[in-house]
Amino acid sequence: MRFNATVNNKPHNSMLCPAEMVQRIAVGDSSVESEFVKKYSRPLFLFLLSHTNGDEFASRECTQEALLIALLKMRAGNIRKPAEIAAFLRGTAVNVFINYCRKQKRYVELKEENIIQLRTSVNLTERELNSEQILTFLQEIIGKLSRSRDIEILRKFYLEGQPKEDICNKLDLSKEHFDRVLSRAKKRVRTIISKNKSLEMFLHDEIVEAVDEYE
Amino acid sequence: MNMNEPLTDKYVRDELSPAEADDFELRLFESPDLQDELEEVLILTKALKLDVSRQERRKQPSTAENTGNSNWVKWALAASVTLLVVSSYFHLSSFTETSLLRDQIVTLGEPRSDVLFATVSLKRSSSNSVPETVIQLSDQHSKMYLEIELGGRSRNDKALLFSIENKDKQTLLTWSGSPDIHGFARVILSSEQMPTGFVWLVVSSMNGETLERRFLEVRESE
Repeated sequence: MRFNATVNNKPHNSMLCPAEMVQRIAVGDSSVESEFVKKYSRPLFLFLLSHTNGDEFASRECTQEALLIALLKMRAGNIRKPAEIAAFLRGTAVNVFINYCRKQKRYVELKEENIIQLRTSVNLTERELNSEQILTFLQEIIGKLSRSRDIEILRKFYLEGQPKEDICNKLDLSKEHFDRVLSRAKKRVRTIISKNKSLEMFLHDEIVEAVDEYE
Repeated sequence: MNMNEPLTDKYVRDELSPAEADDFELRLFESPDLQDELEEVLILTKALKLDVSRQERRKQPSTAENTGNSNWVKWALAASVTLLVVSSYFHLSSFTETSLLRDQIVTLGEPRSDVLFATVSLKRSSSNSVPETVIQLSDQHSKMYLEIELGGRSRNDKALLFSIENKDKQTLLTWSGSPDIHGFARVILSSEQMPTGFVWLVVSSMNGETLERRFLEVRESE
């Protein structure tokens, strides 16, 4: 579980079902609001990340906004089907993302050739160090996939979207071998994440903090 | 192998039917295990992208830092009077390579008028260490059109005080303004008024209560 380590998780609330959470928030139980945000920020973020081609910034922004909208609706008792709060959140996230894209159109589009990457001249700060650590995690993942053939398989599958059968045929692989490569890669990712708690805290707590800030 | 794994792969690769995708997403919201699996795949994809991008960068020793004239014409049409746009994203995120975690500055060719357009969003959580917006001034005699997207704490106030403070909290510049119905406040400043360096944009209520803060970097004209 992601958020066991975070504060203010009262044990009696941890077993609440979605409908109960919605109902408790509607009657003003603020401790349940925290639990709600902690419970749903991660899936919402991952959902958006999947639909934005991995755009963490947009996903983070839209996650925050969708959670705030949901909280306001719940406080006002405007959730018609409390048991289906996940569906409501998903729909809200989609709408928020559409609005986000519309809003971006008001600004000049960023294009790769127009982007000048600059490094701030200040010393590495705590937040930057976190970012550096994350880069290290990613490098570690690639490093663990030391077999170039494994990387080629994964690239073809995840980045180029080639069908499993085609990859197996082209690289003369059995399907079992293919599955083993994927499974091994995912296990390595999981090992690296679980070894580095700061990675997950960095990812999820910021959203929770930001929502708390604007509540 | 976990039964969810192939489904997660299919979801990421957009191979599920709409009904299957619906079902997957609703389960995702309630299942930490499924969240773990999706996270693994997304991180793995990110790491692979990083690897590809590094290899490509090794092949291409330099990237264009400025747009050519044809690009400028295209942008000029889109941006109207906006000639130098400094974009505002500091991309603080979890799985991203260092290059994306840096300030992004967009330069749209050479200025053809003296208006600088800059946007600052206050909707995100503030950072006190890395500027989230970098404003590159064009020249001393230019005007800067600053559009501030206000956060939740200040957008409902009818009148607001804005100030630019240095790191020692000394006020260097102040003005007042009102948000529009969309939560934006705008001001036109002369570039020479604008303090340079690392500064805070502070939004306060009329009674002086600080509502929002944003850490900026203002760069002098090159």
